[in-house]
Amino acid sequence: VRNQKKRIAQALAVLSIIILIILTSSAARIIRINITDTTSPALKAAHSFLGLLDGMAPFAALRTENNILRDRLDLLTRMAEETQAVRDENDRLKALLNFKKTIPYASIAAQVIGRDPSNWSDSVIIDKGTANGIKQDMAVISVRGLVGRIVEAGNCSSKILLITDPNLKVGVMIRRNRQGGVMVGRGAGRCKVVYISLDSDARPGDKIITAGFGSVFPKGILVGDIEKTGRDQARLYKYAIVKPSQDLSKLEEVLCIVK
Amino acid sequence: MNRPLLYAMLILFFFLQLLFSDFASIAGAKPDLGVILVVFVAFFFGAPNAFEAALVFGLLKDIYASGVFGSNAVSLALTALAAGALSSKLSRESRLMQPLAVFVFSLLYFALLYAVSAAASMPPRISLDEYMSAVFIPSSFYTAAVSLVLFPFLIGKFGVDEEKEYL
Repeated sequence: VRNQKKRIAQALAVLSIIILIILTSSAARIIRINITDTTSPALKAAHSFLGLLDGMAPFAALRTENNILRDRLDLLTRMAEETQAVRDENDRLKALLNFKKTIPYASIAAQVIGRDPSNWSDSVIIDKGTANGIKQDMAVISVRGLVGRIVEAGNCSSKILLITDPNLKVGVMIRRNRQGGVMVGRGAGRCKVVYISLDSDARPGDKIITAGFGSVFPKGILVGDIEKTGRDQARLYKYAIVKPSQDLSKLEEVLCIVK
Repeated sequence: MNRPLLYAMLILFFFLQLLFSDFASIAGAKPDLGVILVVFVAFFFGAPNAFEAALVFGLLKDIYASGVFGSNAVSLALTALAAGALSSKLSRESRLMQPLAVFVFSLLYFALLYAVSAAASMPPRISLDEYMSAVFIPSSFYTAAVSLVLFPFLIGKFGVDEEKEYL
């Protein structure tokens, strides 16, 4: 029986490799979009529920600190927390609305409802899709700066590839000296600008903005600050490690730029 | 083995990963709950069960992630087979061995993921050593640390007698 199980396991391994080869084509894309789309209402509900729980978390500490006033304190503090959560959300949405008015492009606001479960790739799922005007390859920004681009657009949900994903490339420049480079994701919440010329005086603290090359990202969007610089292994170019201006692990609302 | 419980844990761990992993990240490193579950199943219920759990968890990851479709499933399944093959040679009941094994198999999983992605249509633009230091090693450490809490939880839930031979 054990040998049989082993053989089944080996067969499944081979099968999964074959599936991998087959599904790297457009079929994988369709499967992903449809499943993500179908489950997006559940994801949205779970996200809202967790948001509610998150807002109530401080109550636990308060309860243990004051047993005598526990019941009354619970009620009042919960009310205060819930009001604060609504107020915070209101402030964020107001800021987003004001920001939306100031940017020179038409945009679609969306909420993050899911995050990449893998350590390898960096993406988020939003609650807007083609039914709301979202299209593939749209640039996505937040109040603080560049976020990424749409890689998969379903009917009512979409996936954003974040700028920290190693498979996203963005043409960028250093705002102070206008020297260009190509930015790639480095994982762990950081990006790396490569192909900076050796004579560049790029230094920590310099602001990085989009260069506007290509058709995805408009020019002049803030990306982040240089954390450190160095020379690549071949010593032909300089590189810079960039900390995105938007903390992508705490991203909640985004704007998708309509071309 | 309690299969409904395994699938309940798979779904629970997956949704925790999907909804919370970014909030739980420390300096960009996220724990991988799938690796912990797969190593646990490999240790106490053998390679075929771990392989099955890995395929399901990996495919769920592939659906919601943005890398090469199937890369997580294949990498995690191969990690499960390796963990299952080595489980009889390791003292799995040791509280020190469990996080150590999770760390090592987590590194193996990341290395496989890198290799599969490189072999498929998306060649990584960051070198392996840079990725190792920035993502793989910190995330593996974090995963191993989280396993210190989750292994006893899983042992309790599955009612595993650590001295008993399950394989």
